[in-house]
Amino acid sequence: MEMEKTGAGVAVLSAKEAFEKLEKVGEGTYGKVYRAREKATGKIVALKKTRLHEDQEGVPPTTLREVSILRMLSRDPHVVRLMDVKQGQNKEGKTVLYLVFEYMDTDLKKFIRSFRQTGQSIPPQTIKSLMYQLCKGIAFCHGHGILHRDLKPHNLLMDRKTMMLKIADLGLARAFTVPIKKYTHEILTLWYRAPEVLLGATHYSMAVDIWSVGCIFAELVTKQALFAGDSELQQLLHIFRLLGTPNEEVWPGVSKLKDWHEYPQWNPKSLSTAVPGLDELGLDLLSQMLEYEPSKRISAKKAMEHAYFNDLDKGHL
Amino acid sequence: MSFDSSNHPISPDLYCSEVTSEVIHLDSDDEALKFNVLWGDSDHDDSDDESILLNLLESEHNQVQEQTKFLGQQLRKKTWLINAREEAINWILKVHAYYSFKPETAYLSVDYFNRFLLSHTFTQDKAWPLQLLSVTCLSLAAKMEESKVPLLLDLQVIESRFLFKPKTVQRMELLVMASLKWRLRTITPFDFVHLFISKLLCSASTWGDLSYIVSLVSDVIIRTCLVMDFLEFSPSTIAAAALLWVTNQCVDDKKSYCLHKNISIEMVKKCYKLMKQKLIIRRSELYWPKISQLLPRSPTCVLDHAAAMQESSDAHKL
Repeated sequence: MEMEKTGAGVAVLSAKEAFEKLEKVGEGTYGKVYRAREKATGKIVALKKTRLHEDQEGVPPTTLREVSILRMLSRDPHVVRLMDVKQGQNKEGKTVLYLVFEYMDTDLKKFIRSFRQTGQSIPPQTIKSLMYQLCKGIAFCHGHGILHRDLKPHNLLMDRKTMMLKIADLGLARAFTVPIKKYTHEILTLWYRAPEVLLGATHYSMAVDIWSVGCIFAELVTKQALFAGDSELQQLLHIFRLLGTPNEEVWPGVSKLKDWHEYPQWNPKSLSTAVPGLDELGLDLLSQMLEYEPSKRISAKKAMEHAYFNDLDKGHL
Repeated sequence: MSFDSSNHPISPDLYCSEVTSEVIHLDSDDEALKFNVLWGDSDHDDSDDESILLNLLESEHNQVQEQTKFLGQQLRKKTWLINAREEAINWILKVHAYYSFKPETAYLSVDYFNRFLLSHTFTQDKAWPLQLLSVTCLSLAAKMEESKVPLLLDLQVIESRFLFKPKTVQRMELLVMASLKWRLRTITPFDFVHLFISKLLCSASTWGDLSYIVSLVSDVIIRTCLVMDFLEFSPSTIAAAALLWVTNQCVDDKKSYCLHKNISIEMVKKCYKLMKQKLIIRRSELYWPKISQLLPRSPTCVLDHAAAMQESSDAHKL
């Protein structure tokens, strides 16, 4: 190749030479995640390994999006920080990419599970603090034109000591300068999926993330998923049983969505039946997050201003 | 929804009839629905838009804008590279039109191309490096923006003197991304267009008008990519000037201030003037995306696709 790089070349350690893998801690959307130590500094990091596809169509779109969006967002304290990207080779000589993240010792899924196992409830002020941080991080993403589209407890990393929460796994995130068409080939976890997505809406908005936030909010209180469907239809029926089957009156345009059908007619129930233990202000905020009509769902920024958070000490968040 | 030119603030007389008929297609129900979703009800919250705009301008400021200005200076010293760059960008725009990619995809492709040129030198005697760079930048932009990305070989079906193996493009992708420090999500003029339209035209527009205006503005923005002199302007300035130009506004203090106080009136005026000088004679060079164009699934389908296009073209002439 005739191209010359301006400036002197600098030898860069390969990923294997730079880091010592300590243990595998998970499987991300498109690859394994390791806890590792950076040899030069002794710092503990998370390495997310992405193998380039066998079909050699280049770097996967999800990796491109995640990296470039994280490069843009990582100055917010509630988005996980991407420190570096390194190329390496695996045992078969194939190119792999390592995304080097700050290490967080747990995630919200594990955190909730630990309380479920002990039978204790998560303290109300802890729930409030975590929810505020989540709204703040999402407000930051939305304020920069980024939808997450796959919010779930597993993608919300936590530090147990400080109770800091950070948004991670932005591989499905997208810019929304114009409405984004549905990506039927991409996975979006069912339990946290907004009804307009389930009904085949072809244009997403920020509201899809707010619905997910609402589901997570309820789960923090009850330690169980609010709508735990095992198919798209069952997911919808779970939602309709609690919030009532939507119609043109409560959600103008709903019957024109692509996947709309006739459904059993349920009347809405009070949210307090599904989320016992949440106070009136919390129930009000939750109800605004679970509005059927996307344009009426509360924004993340407005959620931060809701009275539910009035008594929270926000100084360190 | 039908297009009524007699009531439209922008005269379609500036375009040939073929383009006009394609413009009319953009006023479909789907487009109206799209914009309905975008703006929600008429009572959309201005403070949210203001906040988004402020964030965008802040991010734009943090973006390495200085470097693209330097590229303009650098290019002027090498006449051959100016021509080669324009040829490469023309190729990108043709593939963009062929696949009906989004305007953002075209703009980002050129942005990556420009930024890579800043940090690497090319020799004049070989043409294939710039072609490989073009394919790579288009591939990266398509992966960032499009829901369906053609195979790497299929991206090279149009007027390519060289055909690069996917493995080669992949290696180049990694080189480009390292060079750009993986910052592929950059602020573009398209980030600003809808926000500026809502400020400038909100009280006067119908959804159909918005669709039409956005298409014209997008076309102008894409064609700024071909003119090196636009490198000195920030994305927000280009968006503002393109919108004012398309809506046939005179650039005065009042209009510019309506967009945002952080946007330089002088720069918008300068950019607007350059658009009049540079773009008016190129109106015939429209890269208008074709409606409902099928994507070929593999190289062997390309000939069938080309034949189908020929039949479609013949049918259109009758």
